[in-house]
Amino acid sequence: MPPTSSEPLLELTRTSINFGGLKAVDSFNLKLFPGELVGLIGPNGAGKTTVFNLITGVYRPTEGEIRFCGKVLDGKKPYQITACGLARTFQNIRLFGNLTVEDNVKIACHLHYQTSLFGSVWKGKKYREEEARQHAKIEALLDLFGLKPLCKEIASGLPYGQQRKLEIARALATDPQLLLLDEPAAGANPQESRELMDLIRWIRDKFKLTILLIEHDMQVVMGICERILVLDYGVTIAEGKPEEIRKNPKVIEAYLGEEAV
Amino acid sequence: MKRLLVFIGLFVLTLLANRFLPEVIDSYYVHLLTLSCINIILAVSLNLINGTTGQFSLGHAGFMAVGGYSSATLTYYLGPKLILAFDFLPAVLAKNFVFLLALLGGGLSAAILGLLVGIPSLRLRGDYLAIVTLGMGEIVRVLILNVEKIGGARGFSGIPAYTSLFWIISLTALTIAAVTSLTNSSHGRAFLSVREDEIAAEAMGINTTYYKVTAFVVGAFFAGVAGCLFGHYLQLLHPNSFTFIKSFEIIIMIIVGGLGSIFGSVIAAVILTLLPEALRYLGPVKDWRMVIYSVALIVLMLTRPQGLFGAWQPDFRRWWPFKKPQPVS
Repeated sequence: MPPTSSEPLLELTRTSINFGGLKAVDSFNLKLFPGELVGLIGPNGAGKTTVFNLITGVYRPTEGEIRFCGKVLDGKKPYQITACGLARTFQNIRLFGNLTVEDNVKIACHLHYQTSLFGSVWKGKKYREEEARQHAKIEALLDLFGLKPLCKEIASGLPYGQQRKLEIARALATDPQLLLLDEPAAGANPQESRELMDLIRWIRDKFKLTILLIEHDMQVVMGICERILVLDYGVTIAEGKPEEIRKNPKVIEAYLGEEAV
Repeated sequence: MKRLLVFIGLFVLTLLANRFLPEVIDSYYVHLLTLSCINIILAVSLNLINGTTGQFSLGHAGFMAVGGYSSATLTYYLGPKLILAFDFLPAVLAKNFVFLLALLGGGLSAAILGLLVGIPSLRLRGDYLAIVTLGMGEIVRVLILNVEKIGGARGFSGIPAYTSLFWIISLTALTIAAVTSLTNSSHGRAFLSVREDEIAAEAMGINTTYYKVTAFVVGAFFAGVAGCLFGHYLQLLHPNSFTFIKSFEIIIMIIVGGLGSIFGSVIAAVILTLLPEALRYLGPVKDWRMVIYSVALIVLMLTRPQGLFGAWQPDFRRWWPFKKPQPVS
């Protein structure tokens, strides 16, 4: 899908972060346009997840600026950034393990609730209507992911693949415009990876999302991303279409070492 | 409307219990009922902080002390004047109205302390938070020990005996109902998410700071109410009642009942209040009752580390007279 608008949805300008003497991410630039599906790749320790943590407010950038829909995100707390319409999944799945599948997704709906603390204790008409509305919403969402029959199961008891799906469903429940997926195909077999590719493409179209994903599975990245950024030691070493990245000598060097070029 | 009718019904029932229960059962059992109920309020409110929100607090006795002492100060020093001011009301009503104010005052002052203690909880977790809350409880106790106006080391005596079965039963029911309703709401799920995974909760749009502090404030409020009931029941408050051992007693209750299970907290609070009393009747081994009590706890923890009920909650809503929120199809 070509960029539908010239205004970037997310824009990182010369963003850097230092941990002590280590420059984990150095002058990172990124423009994401509405509807794009962009991949972020790089060898282990390249700083990919750090970029996610910068965008979602877990870390504050030492330098540079992050804008989402034209608003500066810098200095906002992670929950405020999520409320702006930016949701993420985690590399090592972070579900609410002891809670049911249903509750996991309902928690992500919480930011849309209007009822106050007292209102939710009193459980008046307004609250019950709201609860019914959100319940319908999450049921539809779980149904889309084929998780509806499991909605009363404890999340940590699900098979790995289902947990990944649930994490995506949970992120979608916050009604994001931009979805950040951190290694969605980790631990999946080739069959599951292919299904996941279809799923990601499908949710992008269904929910009209912009997606930025980190992935090690080259088949997945090359298969679905329209644009790819390659990070190595915190520096962007290449950016372009999948075919260009595949042939880029710098990328091959970063992954396979100098002799391979 | 139905809800209002049920409330009125329960109100009348509680009034009847208040009037006739002491005539039917022995005063010793009334005493045990009162202590059980106070412990239920303490356990259920601590469960919100420790079990549901996962913030390990060891300062519940401190909240209870603040609630007890501030409400007693209110009724002791201001109470007589207030009752005079309300002399147009029947004496019973005036007295209970003053007590209602004391309950609110006790609860609110404990809640303010909860707010102050909640703030370090933003930075600390686990063992470190436990130490801070433990320290807070001790600071409260030592402060009370040194204020002569409220009895100091001698204890605060002469507190009017306002705690009646009516207040005990209705406030216990109110605490259980409020905390259960809160836990089963959208906000309750937010508390749970803080316990489960703070980073994921933040990423899902939950203001974890707000929920941690709120858990402390709400939990402390009810502990303050329990302190108020306790003081106006015994008519005496002593700093030694609020050492960290009292906090541990409440912790034991919620762990035995199952962290996160309100039903478990209620049952465990009753069992652990009655058990030491019941063991008095063991005849020849009655000198060993505290040993038996401790051994019972150890055996329980070895065989059921998740507590009696784990996180299990019976679904009382099946018998709840109000319409359940129907999921829209």
